[in-house]
Amino acid sequence: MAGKIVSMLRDYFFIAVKGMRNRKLRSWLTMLGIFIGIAAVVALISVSRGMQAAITEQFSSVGADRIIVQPGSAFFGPPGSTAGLSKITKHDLGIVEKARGVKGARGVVLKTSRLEFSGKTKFVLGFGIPADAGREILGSRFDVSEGRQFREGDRNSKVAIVGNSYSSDDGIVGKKIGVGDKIKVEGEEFRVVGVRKRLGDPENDVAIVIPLETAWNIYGNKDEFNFVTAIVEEGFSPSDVAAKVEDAIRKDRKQEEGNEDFQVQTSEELFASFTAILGIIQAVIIGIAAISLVVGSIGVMNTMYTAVLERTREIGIMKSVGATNRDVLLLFLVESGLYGLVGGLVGIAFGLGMAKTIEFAATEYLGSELLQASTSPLLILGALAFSFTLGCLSGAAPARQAARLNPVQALRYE
Amino acid sequence: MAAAMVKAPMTGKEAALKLENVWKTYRLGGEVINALRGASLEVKKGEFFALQGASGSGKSTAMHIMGALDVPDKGTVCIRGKDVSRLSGDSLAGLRGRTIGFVFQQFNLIPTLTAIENVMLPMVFQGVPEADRLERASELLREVELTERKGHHPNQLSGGQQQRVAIARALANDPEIILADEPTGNLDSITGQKVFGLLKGLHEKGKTVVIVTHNEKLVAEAQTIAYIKDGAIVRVKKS
Repeated sequence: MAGKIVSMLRDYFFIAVKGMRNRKLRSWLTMLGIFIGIAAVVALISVSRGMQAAITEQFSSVGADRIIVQPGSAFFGPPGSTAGLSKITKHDLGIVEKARGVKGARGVVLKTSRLEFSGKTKFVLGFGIPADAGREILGSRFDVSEGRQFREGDRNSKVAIVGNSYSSDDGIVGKKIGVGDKIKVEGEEFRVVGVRKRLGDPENDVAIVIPLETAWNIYGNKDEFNFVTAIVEEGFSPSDVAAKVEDAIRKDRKQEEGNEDFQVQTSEELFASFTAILGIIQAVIIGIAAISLVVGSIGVMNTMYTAVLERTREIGIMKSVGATNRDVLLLFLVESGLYGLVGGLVGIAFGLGMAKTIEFAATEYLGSELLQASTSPLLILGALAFSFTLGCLSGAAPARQAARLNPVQALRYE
Repeated sequence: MAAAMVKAPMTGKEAALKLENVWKTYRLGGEVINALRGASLEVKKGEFFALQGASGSGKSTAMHIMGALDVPDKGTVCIRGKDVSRLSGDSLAGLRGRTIGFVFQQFNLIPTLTAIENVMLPMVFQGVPEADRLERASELLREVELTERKGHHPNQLSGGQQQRVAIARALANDPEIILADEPTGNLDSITGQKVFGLLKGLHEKGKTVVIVTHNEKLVAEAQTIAYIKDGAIVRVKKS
């Protein structure tokens, strides 16, 4: 029985293909709507899946058990984005360190800095990070791929670790900066001791890292931090510890709850807020693609109604040679499903091409490796199944109309 | 009704087709047309039967009803002894597919399919396996001398060739009854003769052949001629 149905569908498939080939231009125009919609969906899902993966990776380099204390209020953003508001000081760091459940805490200075090298001047991010082993608390973001990390003896020294994009001549200064080279930061000469590992994010990959105490000296903001990162002791929940830290700083600053000039977030919260934003972007984009698919399916429906009208006589002939209503229904459903399926196939090919182009453009022109197209067999199969179903659904009403035609009236149709 | 029964030829053979007091009304552009008004006739198995009448006499409607393409408003239609007057659309389709082969004046081939695909089409709807379909269709095209043209589309064939493809298609599922509605109406006399010869040959092979026509010459060769006027059979002549 199943074999018979498969062979029947195959026959209908060939009859439908013959009809479509006979009306090539109309068939392609019909598929255009589906194709644009599917291409948009596939491209955007691929890109946003890639973005999701990049965000996850970025946060895993910070660590899930981290708490971030930074100036400002009720603002969700990455560390350092609130520079210029209230201050987080060495005194605050002491409070964080003493809070129950905090294993350790370190502060970081972050400031746009003037970098001079090989006759070129650029403004890049400058980080001041602890020169001691406690730096581990900041996660793997400051790891080096060449040279060495800062050590105790580097406090107050003019040594620097440069971002990974200086490891070739293609960087913003047009010449490779290697270990042992001399660079100027804010007019002071620094010796490069290490190259930071590649993060894929252009801002961080051109940043300059110097020891915390040196940063205080050259930036003139002694004992202040742009953010403090704390690591939570095992067995404690990061959000409970964050609440305790917030409470302690609030009490110290004698502020009321809800009116703080600082904020304490867990890395998970930060991650969640990024994911939420990405979700909103995805929803908006998929909504736009959905409109295109609706328009596409109206196109299929229109073509199928036209086909039923044009082929009324053929339907009569088929019925006269023994086609049942179900046969005619299936014939037209297979045809409209094919519009969806072929539109979907072309759409997937274009969508993947678009995603790869976006990835290429991001890497090539923005220098960001965070935007990597990511696709999956499930996405492709899902898009195919969806486009086929959409085609069938769009053709359902016309196919029903065809199936119900009276054979005699259909044969008389001119 | 009784009168019609008396007029029907009594050969003693089983009836292949039987219409009893059949009424059919349809609407055409808001106008009600009484196409059949109590028509009765009987076609015996293996008979070469002609239905003759003027344009608008109801002969095409009678053929549609005989061929299970349509059902009567009133009256009974029996095909091979089975009352089909109240069958559902799909049951009628099955019956047509297996028992009846149509030949139309307009040939009615599917333009997007080749000659051999047109011949195979009735077998597709009966679920005949592809290899068998191909073999049977090739054989039928050979019988109508169109083997060379099997890959041609209808628009690449002459009228006579198209009608021969249509005859081959009518025979696809080896039906017992062939219904031909003005089969030579769109053909010149020589081509028409050839097509008619094919139909006669089918009768000689034992098929029941019903020709609906107003062509006196074709009618002359039929075993039975029924004359239809204003939707009723007015005379039946047996040769």
